[in-house]
Amino acid sequence: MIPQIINGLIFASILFLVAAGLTIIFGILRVVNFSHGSFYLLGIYIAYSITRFSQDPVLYLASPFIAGALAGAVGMAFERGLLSRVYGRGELFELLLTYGMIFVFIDVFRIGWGTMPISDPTITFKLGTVSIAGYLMPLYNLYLITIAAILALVLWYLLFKTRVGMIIRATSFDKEVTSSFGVNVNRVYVLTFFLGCFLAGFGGGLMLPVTGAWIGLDIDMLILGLVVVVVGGLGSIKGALVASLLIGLVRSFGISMFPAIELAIVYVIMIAVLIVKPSGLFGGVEH
Amino acid sequence: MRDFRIVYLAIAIILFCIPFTGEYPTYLTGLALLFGISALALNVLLGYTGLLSFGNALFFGAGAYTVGLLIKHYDIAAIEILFPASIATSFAVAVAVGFICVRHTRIYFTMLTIALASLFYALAHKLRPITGGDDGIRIYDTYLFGREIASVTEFYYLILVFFFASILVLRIILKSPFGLTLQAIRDSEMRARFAGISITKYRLGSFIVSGVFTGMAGALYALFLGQISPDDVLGLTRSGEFVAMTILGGFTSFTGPVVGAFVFTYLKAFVSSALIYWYMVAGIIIIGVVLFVPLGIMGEIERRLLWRR
Amino acid sequence: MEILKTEGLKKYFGEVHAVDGVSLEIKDGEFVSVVGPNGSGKTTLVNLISGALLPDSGIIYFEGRDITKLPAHQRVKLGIGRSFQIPMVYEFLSSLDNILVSILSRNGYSNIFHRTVDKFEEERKEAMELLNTFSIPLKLVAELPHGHRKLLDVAMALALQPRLVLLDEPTAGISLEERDQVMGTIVEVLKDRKIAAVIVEHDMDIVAEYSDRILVMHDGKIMKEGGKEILEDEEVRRILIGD
Repeated sequence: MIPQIINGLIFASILFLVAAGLTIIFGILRVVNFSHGSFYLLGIYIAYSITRFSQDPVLYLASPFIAGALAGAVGMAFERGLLSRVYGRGELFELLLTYGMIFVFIDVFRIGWGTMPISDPTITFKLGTVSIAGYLMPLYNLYLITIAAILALVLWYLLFKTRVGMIIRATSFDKEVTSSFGVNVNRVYVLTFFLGCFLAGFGGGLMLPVTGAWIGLDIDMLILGLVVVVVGGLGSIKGALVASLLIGLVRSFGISMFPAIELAIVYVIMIAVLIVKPSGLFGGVEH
Repeated sequence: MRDFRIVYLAIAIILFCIPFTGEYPTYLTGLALLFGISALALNVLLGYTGLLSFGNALFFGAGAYTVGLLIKHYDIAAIEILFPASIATSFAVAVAVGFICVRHTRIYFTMLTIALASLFYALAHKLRPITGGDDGIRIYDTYLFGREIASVTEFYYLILVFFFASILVLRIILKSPFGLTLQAIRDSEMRARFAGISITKYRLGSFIVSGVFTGMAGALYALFLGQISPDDVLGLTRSGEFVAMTILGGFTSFTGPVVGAFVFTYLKAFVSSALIYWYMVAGIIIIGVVLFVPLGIMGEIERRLLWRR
Repeated sequence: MEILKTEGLKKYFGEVHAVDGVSLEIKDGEFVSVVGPNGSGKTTLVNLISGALLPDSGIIYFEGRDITKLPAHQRVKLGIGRSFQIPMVYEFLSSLDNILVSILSRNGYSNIFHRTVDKFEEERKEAMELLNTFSIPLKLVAELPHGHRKLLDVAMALALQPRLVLLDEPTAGISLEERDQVMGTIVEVLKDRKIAAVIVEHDMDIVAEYSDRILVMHDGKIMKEGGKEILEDEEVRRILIGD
């Protein structure tokens, strides 16, 4: 039981980071960022490059933050340079633009990091293991879950307890009204995109020692992120959290019990939720 | 109107003559025709009903895997059986999936199509004993009315027949009251509802039309290539290609998707033979079309023709 | 004989009692105006009768049949048509096709896919006549000015040959000079086809000229009803002008 739970929580942590970014960006910009999985993958690659400089564990532990910040910066550039040009032209074009980015990213990855999978579990060995109820666990895995939980709390605090968060939430309700109060909506958009891509890149950086990276993980992660967001309810961070835990744990137990169809179980959950509650667990009314 | 007919006739003659230019152009054009049917079918949803499906590979794969599984497990090699079976499967899949999807619109619909296509992808991937998993299925020794069909040229003409038939049938469907009603729903769901139209029923109808034609193209693809795998026929990239082709050719035009399919397929073949970075080029094309030619090739041409008059 | 009857219709949006216990009867072929200040619940009432919204409580009868829970498109099939305050039209179809959609739907042809639209000559002729009646040019709707869209919206409702039509501010956005003519045309068609009408209207001259009966709504309730003389009523004037 314990290993499945820990694995499920690791998976849930990453799903949450990715899905929270997707859902925040959707909540504010009304755009589903199809290149979100690519930002996640970018995070892993950047963390990999950073940790080439030295074997210092501190650098390893810091690398997800740097990866997140850089992914966020790339996200900002994308939002300002490309995405903002198609606002108001309908979601078809917004979606396609982010979809096109997936392919641009793929070749950027191939040029920058080659076509072979990369991985670096050094930090896992350096931190060693701990024993939980008789099971040996890499300490890094516990660190990963803890830091993701802390980040979830920080995110909650940022959105619900600070002025910036209030402005972001106000924008998601009504951007005309918000801008009439003197808020620069464009700045909110950039900030949101940074935040969303930061979360994806950060999640990626955390996973370098666990899974590593390969081309194709971008689309896998995108689809899982979309499933979490659909199950949780589009635009709901609480929904993303609950759905991540649900899907993370189900998948972890599924892998150990029904390895042949573990991924299918995830989709079956999604279909079941949608039939019972079409707008997702915590979704409001569809716009 | 008359000069357009001449253009169509000329295109038909050129398509008929393609096999005389060699095996590779025939193969490439065959693919373009298949994807043309698929893109046209996607546009029934996108251009005519206003629903963006990013999961149409689901139908393509349903058609292809019906052929593959029947050959692999039941040794059925008769195309005249394989083909209707594929259509029946894609019909059934469209009804089941459509039932879940059509209650939603816009981005919700799009995300659901992705997720449901991914379910089938995951199954094809994991149920190795049945589907062959990653390795997929090889398809060979197929017969049409007792005659073995093996060469690229033979399959090409088979595809060409279905291509013309699809264009004709889709044209009729979309010009019919049913097609007009779909466009009405696209433009104003509310108004259509108050014209006495059951929105979900028509969306489902549109979904089924799209699914059946895509499934047919998938079946032809399996026969034509002789090899299918989950990534090739069921992956998100396949669905995305249908969308990219449709947008490139122009979703506001009936013929746009076919033009897009041809341009995309040829371009992909040429670019990937000359350069290893096809993905980058594809991405830039998609982004470029969105930013600079949102109506696509045919949409832009039609707009200019109208403007000049 | 009444064609429409409601009993105690209620629709609350949170604290707002948009429609608060409305009971009314509309007779066959009657022309009834609903007036009242903004936010008095007129549009919500139209939405409840047409099926765009479901009531929290109350019953709606159409020709004696309980239609309270019936989906909107089925109410249309029974003979209830409506137009919208902000015209709802099919932007990328021609004005003729806009009307044709209604006619084909009415005749049960909208699910046919073996015959192309241009083969339906009777229906096209009928649509053309409606365009002519309302002097709407045959054009892509995206190119039509607001006034023509407004009329097209009404024409699309009338093309359904309803027994009852709900018109939500049919003359809003139409210039003062044209209003009378437009309304005259609409009423002519209504009388000609013996269609009962419930119209929401702000122009009191029009209300006074054409209504068989007037309902005054205030805070979700029908405050008063009667002939055009009630427009002179002190309390009614205060409510309407206080708006």
